Amino acid sequence: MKRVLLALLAMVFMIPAAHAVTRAEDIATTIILRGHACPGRTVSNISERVDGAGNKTIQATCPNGARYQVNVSTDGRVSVQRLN
Amino acid sequence: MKDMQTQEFPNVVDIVVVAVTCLIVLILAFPLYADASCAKMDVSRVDVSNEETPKAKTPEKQVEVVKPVKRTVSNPVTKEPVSKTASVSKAAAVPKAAPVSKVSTVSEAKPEKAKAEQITVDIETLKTRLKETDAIGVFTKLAIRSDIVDLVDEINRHRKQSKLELKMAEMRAHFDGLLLKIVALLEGDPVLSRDLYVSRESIWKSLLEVKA
Repeated sequence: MKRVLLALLAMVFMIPAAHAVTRAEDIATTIILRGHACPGRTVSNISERVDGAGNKTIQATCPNGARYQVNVSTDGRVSVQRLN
Repeated sequence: MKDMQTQEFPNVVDIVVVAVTCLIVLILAFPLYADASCAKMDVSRVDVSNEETPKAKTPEKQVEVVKPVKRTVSNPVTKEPVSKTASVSKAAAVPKAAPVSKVSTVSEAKPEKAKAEQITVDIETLKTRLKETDAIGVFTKLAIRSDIVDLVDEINRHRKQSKLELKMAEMRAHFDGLLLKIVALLEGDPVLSRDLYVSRESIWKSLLEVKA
Protein backbone atom coordinates (compact mmCIF):
# COMPACT_ATOMS: atom_id res chain seq x y z
CA MET A 1 0.00 0.00 0.00
CA LYS A 2 2.80 2.33 0.96
CA ARG A 3 4.62 1.63 -2.27
CA VAL A 4 1.52 2.17 -4.33
CA LEU A 5 1.08 5.56 -2.68
CA LEU A 6 4.72 6.39 -3.33
CA ALA A 7 4.33 5.43 -6.97
CA LEU A 8 1.21 7.56 -7.29
CA LEU A 9 2.96 10.50 -5.67
CA ALA A 10 5.88 10.13 -8.04
CA MET A 11 3.49 10.10 -10.98
CA VAL A 12 1.72 13.21 -9.75
CA PHE A 13 4.97 15.13 -9.46
CA MET A 14 6.61 13.82 -12.59
CA ILE A 15 3.82 14.37 -15.12
CA PRO A 16 3.99 18.21 -15.02
CA ALA A 17 7.77 18.05 -15.21
CA ALA A 18 7.58 15.83 -18.25
CA HIS A 19 5.21 18.24 -20.00
CA ALA A 20 7.34 21.33 -19.49
CA VAL A 21 9.40 22.52 -22.42
CA THR A 22 13.08 21.78 -22.01
CA ARG A 23 15.69 24.50 -22.22
CA ALA A 24 17.10 23.02 -25.42
CA GLU A 25 13.67 23.04 -27.06
CA ASP A 26 13.08 26.59 -25.88
CA ILE A 27 16.33 27.85 -27.41
CA ALA A 28 15.71 25.94 -30.63
CA THR A 29 12.20 27.42 -30.91
CA THR A 30 13.63 30.90 -30.38
CA ILE A 31 16.16 30.31 -33.15
CA ILE A 32 13.40 29.10 -35.48
CA LEU A 33 11.20 32.08 -34.56
CA ARG A 34 13.94 34.40 -35.69
CA GLY A 35 13.95 32.77 -39.11
CA HIS A 36 16.92 30.44 -38.81
CA ALA A 37 16.91 26.75 -39.59
CA CYS A 38 17.19 24.37 -36.68
CA PRO A 39 15.87 20.94 -37.64
CA GLY A 40 14.88 18.62 -34.86
CA ARG A 41 13.71 21.50 -32.69
CA THR A 42 16.41 20.91 -30.12
CA VAL A 43 19.95 22.10 -29.53
CA SER A 44 23.06 20.81 -27.83
CA ASN A 45 26.29 22.22 -26.40
CA ILE A 46 24.51 25.08 -24.68
CA SER A 47 26.72 27.70 -23.11
CA GLU A 48 25.41 30.74 -21.34
CA ARG A 49 27.00 33.86 -19.95
CA VAL A 50 25.75 37.11 -18.52
CA ASP A 51 27.67 40.36 -18.84
CA GLY A 52 27.88 43.12 -16.28
CA ALA A 53 24.91 45.00 -17.71
CA GLY A 54 22.68 41.95 -17.39
CA ASN A 55 22.60 41.02 -21.06
CA LYS A 56 22.47 37.28 -21.54
CA THR A 57 24.28 35.49 -24.32
CA ILE A 58 23.52 31.88 -25.13
CA GLN A 59 25.37 29.80 -27.66
CA ALA A 60 23.97 26.51 -28.87
CA THR A 61 24.42 24.04 -31.69
CA CYS A 62 21.56 22.73 -33.80
CA PRO A 63 21.46 19.11 -35.02
CA ASN A 64 22.53 20.26 -38.51
CA GLY A 65 25.79 21.58 -37.08
CA ALA A 66 24.89 25.25 -37.22
CA ARG A 67 25.92 27.16 -34.13
CA TYR A 68 23.86 30.14 -33.09
CA GLN A 69 24.15 32.90 -30.56
CA VAL A 70 20.98 34.09 -28.84
CA ASN A 71 21.24 37.53 -27.27
CA VAL A 72 18.73 38.56 -24.64
CA SER A 73 19.04 42.19 -23.62
CA THR A 74 18.08 43.52 -20.22
CA ASP A 75 14.81 44.92 -21.59
CA GLY A 76 13.86 41.49 -22.93
CA ARG A 77 14.78 41.93 -26.57
CA VAL A 78 15.82 38.70 -28.26
CA SER A 79 18.07 38.46 -31.29
CA VAL A 80 19.75 35.49 -32.92
CA GLN A 81 22.85 35.37 -35.06
CA ARG A 82 24.58 32.47 -36.72
CA LEU A 83 28.18 31.90 -35.72
CA ASN A 84 29.40 29.48 -38.41
CA MET B 1 15.73 -12.12 0.28
CA LYS B 2 12.26 -10.77 0.66
CA ASP B 3 12.71 -10.50 4.39
CA MET B 4 15.99 -8.73 3.90
CA GLN B 5 14.36 -6.25 1.57
CA THR B 6 11.36 -5.60 3.71
CA GLN B 7 13.09 -5.55 7.06
CA GLU B 8 16.71 -4.47 6.56
CA PHE B 9 16.49 -2.42 3.33
CA PRO B 10 12.97 -1.10 3.14
CA ASN B 11 14.02 2.32 1.89
CA VAL B 12 16.03 0.92 -1.01
CA VAL B 13 12.97 -0.85 -2.37
CA ASP B 14 10.87 2.28 -1.97
CA ILE B 15 13.44 4.37 -3.78
CA VAL B 16 13.59 1.83 -6.58
CA VAL B 17 9.80 1.86 -6.87
CA VAL B 18 9.74 5.65 -7.06
CA ALA B 19 12.61 5.77 -9.57
CA VAL B 20 11.01 3.16 -11.81
CA THR B 21 7.69 4.96 -11.66
CA CYS B 22 9.34 8.25 -12.57
CA LEU B 23 11.11 6.64 -15.50
CA ILE B 24 7.90 5.05 -16.74
CA VAL B 25 6.07 8.34 -16.46
CA LEU B 26 8.84 10.19 -18.30
CA ILE B 27 8.89 7.63 -21.07
CA LEU B 28 5.14 7.47 -21.44
CA ALA B 29 4.25 11.09 -20.73
CA PHE B 30 5.14 12.62 -24.07
CA PRO B 31 3.21 10.28 -26.34
CA LEU B 32 0.32 10.19 -23.90
CA TYR B 33 0.31 13.94 -23.73
CA ALA B 34 0.52 14.26 -27.49
CA ASP B 35 -2.53 12.05 -27.85
CA ALA B 36 -4.36 14.06 -25.22
CA SER B 37 -3.50 17.33 -26.89
CA CYS B 38 -4.61 15.98 -30.24
CA ALA B 39 -7.87 14.90 -28.71
CA LYS B 40 -8.31 18.29 -27.08
CA MET B 41 -7.47 19.99 -30.35
CA ASP B 42 -10.05 17.89 -32.15
CA VAL B 43 -12.62 18.86 -29.57
CA SER B 44 -11.69 22.51 -29.87
CA ARG B 45 -11.86 22.32 -33.65
CA VAL B 46 -15.33 20.93 -33.41
CA ASP B 47 -16.26 23.65 -30.97
CA VAL B 48 -14.95 26.44 -33.14
CA SER B 49 -16.50 25.08 -36.30
CA ASN B 50 -19.85 24.55 -34.67
CA GLU B 51 -19.50 27.65 -32.51
CA GLU B 52 -21.36 25.94 -29.72
CA THR B 53 -18.73 26.00 -27.01
CA PRO B 54 -20.20 24.63 -23.83
CA LYS B 55 -19.22 26.26 -20.58
CA ALA B 56 -17.85 23.03 -19.20
CA LYS B 57 -15.12 22.91 -21.84
CA THR B 58 -13.98 26.48 -21.34
CA PRO B 59 -11.34 27.18 -18.71
CA GLU B 60 -12.28 28.79 -15.43
CA LYS B 61 -10.29 31.91 -16.10
CA GLN B 62 -11.97 32.51 -19.38
CA VAL B 63 -14.52 35.24 -19.48
CA GLU B 64 -17.05 34.13 -22.01
CA VAL B 65 -19.18 36.73 -23.64
CA VAL B 66 -21.63 35.57 -26.20
CA LYS B 67 -23.11 38.38 -28.17
CA PRO B 68 -26.52 37.42 -29.46
CA VAL B 69 -26.92 40.32 -31.85
CA LYS B 70 -30.46 40.72 -32.97
CA ARG B 71 -29.50 42.36 -36.24
CA THR B 72 -31.70 41.32 -39.10
CA VAL B 73 -30.14 40.31 -42.36
CA SER B 74 -32.12 40.14 -45.50
CA ASN B 75 -31.93 36.80 -47.22
CA PRO B 76 -31.10 37.40 -50.89
CA VAL B 77 -32.92 34.28 -52.02
CA THR B 78 -36.10 34.38 -50.01
CA LYS B 79 -36.07 38.18 -49.54
CA GLU B 80 -37.20 37.71 -45.97
CA PRO B 81 -35.54 39.19 -42.90
CA VAL B 82 -33.69 36.44 -41.03
CA SER B 83 -32.63 36.96 -37.45
CA LYS B 84 -29.19 35.65 -36.57
CA THR B 85 -30.33 33.53 -33.68
CA ALA B 86 -32.78 31.71 -35.88
CA SER B 87 -30.42 31.31 -38.82
CA VAL B 88 -29.82 27.62 -38.19
CA SER B 89 -33.45 26.70 -38.05
CA LYS B 90 -34.03 28.76 -41.15
CA ALA B 91 -31.12 27.10 -42.90
CA ALA B 92 -32.49 23.71 -41.98
CA ALA B 93 -35.99 24.62 -43.00
CA VAL B 94 -35.18 26.24 -46.32
CA PRO B 95 -34.06 23.08 -48.20
CA LYS B 96 -37.44 21.46 -47.67
CA ALA B 97 -39.29 24.45 -49.07
CA ALA B 98 -36.84 25.49 -51.76
CA PRO B 99 -34.03 23.03 -52.51
CA VAL B 100 -32.49 25.36 -55.09
CA SER B 101 -31.46 27.91 -52.46
CA LYS B 102 -29.77 25.37 -50.20
CA VAL B 103 -26.14 26.24 -50.92
CA SER B 104 -26.42 29.98 -50.64
CA THR B 105 -28.49 29.92 -47.47
CA VAL B 106 -26.22 27.52 -45.63
CA SER B 107 -23.06 29.30 -46.69
CA GLU B 108 -24.40 32.58 -45.38
CA ALA B 109 -25.90 31.17 -42.23
CA LYS B 110 -22.62 29.73 -40.92
CA PRO B 111 -20.48 32.90 -40.95
CA GLU B 112 -23.29 34.97 -39.56
CA LYS B 113 -23.79 32.56 -36.74
CA ALA B 114 -20.06 32.46 -36.17
CA LYS B 115 -19.99 36.22 -35.82
CA ALA B 116 -23.02 36.26 -33.58
CA GLU B 117 -21.73 33.68 -31.17
CA GLN B 118 -18.11 34.69 -31.29
CA ILE B 119 -16.36 34.07 -28.03
CA THR B 120 -14.33 36.96 -26.76
CA VAL B 121 -11.85 36.40 -24.00
CA ASP B 122 -10.54 39.05 -21.67
CA ILE B 123 -7.23 40.36 -22.99
CA GLU B 124 -5.63 40.64 -19.57
CA THR B 125 -6.59 37.05 -18.80
CA LEU B 126 -5.07 35.96 -22.10
CA LYS B 127 -1.86 37.82 -21.28
CA THR B 128 -1.65 36.14 -17.91
CA ARG B 129 -2.34 32.73 -19.36
CA LEU B 130 0.26 33.27 -22.06
CA LYS B 131 2.82 34.27 -19.43
CA GLU B 132 2.02 31.29 -17.23
CA THR B 133 1.70 28.56 -19.83
CA ASP B 134 4.26 25.75 -19.83
CA ALA B 135 3.74 25.00 -23.49
CA ILE B 136 6.44 27.48 -24.52
CA GLY B 137 9.70 28.40 -22.84
CA VAL B 138 10.96 31.67 -21.44
CA PHE B 139 13.09 32.66 -24.42
CA THR B 140 10.26 31.91 -26.81
CA LYS B 141 7.96 34.09 -24.75
CA LEU B 142 10.54 36.88 -24.81
CA ALA B 143 10.89 36.54 -28.59
CA ILE B 144 7.11 36.74 -29.02
CA ARG B 145 7.01 39.75 -26.71
CA SER B 146 9.70 41.45 -28.80
CA ASP B 147 7.68 40.83 -31.96
CA ILE B 148 4.53 42.26 -30.40
CA VAL B 149 6.39 45.33 -29.13
CA ASP B 150 7.87 45.83 -32.61
CA LEU B 151 4.42 45.61 -34.18
CA VAL B 152 2.96 48.12 -31.72
CA ASP B 153 5.90 50.47 -32.34
CA GLU B 154 5.38 50.17 -36.06
CA ILE B 155 1.67 50.92 -35.73
CA ASN B 156 2.42 53.97 -33.60
CA ARG B 157 5.06 55.16 -36.04
CA HIS B 158 2.58 54.97 -38.90
CA ARG B 159 -0.01 56.70 -36.76
CA LYS B 160 2.35 59.59 -36.07
CA GLN B 161 3.04 59.90 -39.78
CA SER B 162 -0.72 59.75 -40.45
CA LYS B 163 -0.18 56.73 -42.68
CA LEU B 164 -1.92 54.20 -40.49
CA GLU B 165 -4.99 53.96 -42.69
CA LEU B 166 -2.82 53.30 -45.72
CA LYS B 167 -0.73 50.72 -43.93
CA MET B 168 -3.61 49.10 -42.09
CA ALA B 169 -3.79 46.06 -44.39
CA GLU B 170 -0.04 45.53 -44.09
CA MET B 171 -0.15 45.82 -40.31
CA ARG B 172 -3.07 43.45 -40.13
CA ALA B 173 -1.22 40.91 -42.25
CA HIS B 174 1.77 41.26 -39.95
CA PHE B 175 -0.48 40.74 -36.94
CA ASP B 176 -2.17 37.69 -38.49
CA GLY B 177 1.22 36.13 -39.20
CA LEU B 178 2.36 36.76 -35.66
CA LEU B 179 -0.83 35.34 -34.21
CA LEU B 180 -0.52 32.23 -36.35
CA LYS B 181 3.03 31.78 -35.12
CA ILE B 182 1.87 31.98 -31.51
CA VAL B 183 -1.05 29.66 -32.12
CA ALA B 184 1.27 27.14 -33.76
CA LEU B 185 3.74 27.37 -30.89
CA LEU B 186 1.00 26.69 -28.36
CA GLU B 187 0.38 23.15 -29.53
CA GLY B 188 0.94 22.00 -25.96
CA ASP B 189 -1.84 24.27 -24.69
CA PRO B 190 -4.65 23.85 -27.22
CA VAL B 191 -7.24 25.64 -25.10
CA LEU B 192 -5.16 28.80 -24.89
CA SER B 193 -4.30 28.47 -28.56
CA ARG B 194 -7.97 28.31 -29.47
CA ASP B 195 -8.87 31.21 -27.19
CA LEU B 196 -6.16 33.36 -28.76
CA TYR B 197 -7.37 32.54 -32.24
CA VAL B 198 -11.02 33.13 -31.41
CA SER B 199 -10.21 36.48 -29.76
CA ARG B 200 -7.99 37.72 -32.57
CA GLU B 201 -10.29 40.65 -33.41
CA SER B 202 -10.30 41.85 -29.81
CA ILE B 203 -6.53 41.51 -29.62
CA TRP B 204 -6.13 43.46 -32.84
CA LYS B 205 -8.37 46.24 -31.55
CA SER B 206 -6.50 46.39 -28.27
CA LEU B 207 -3.20 46.61 -30.16
CA LEU B 208 -4.52 49.51 -32.17
CA GLU B 209 -5.54 51.25 -28.98
CA VAL B 210 -2.04 51.09 -27.52
CA LYS B 211 -0.54 54.57 -27.63
CA ALA B 212 3.16 55.27 -27.55
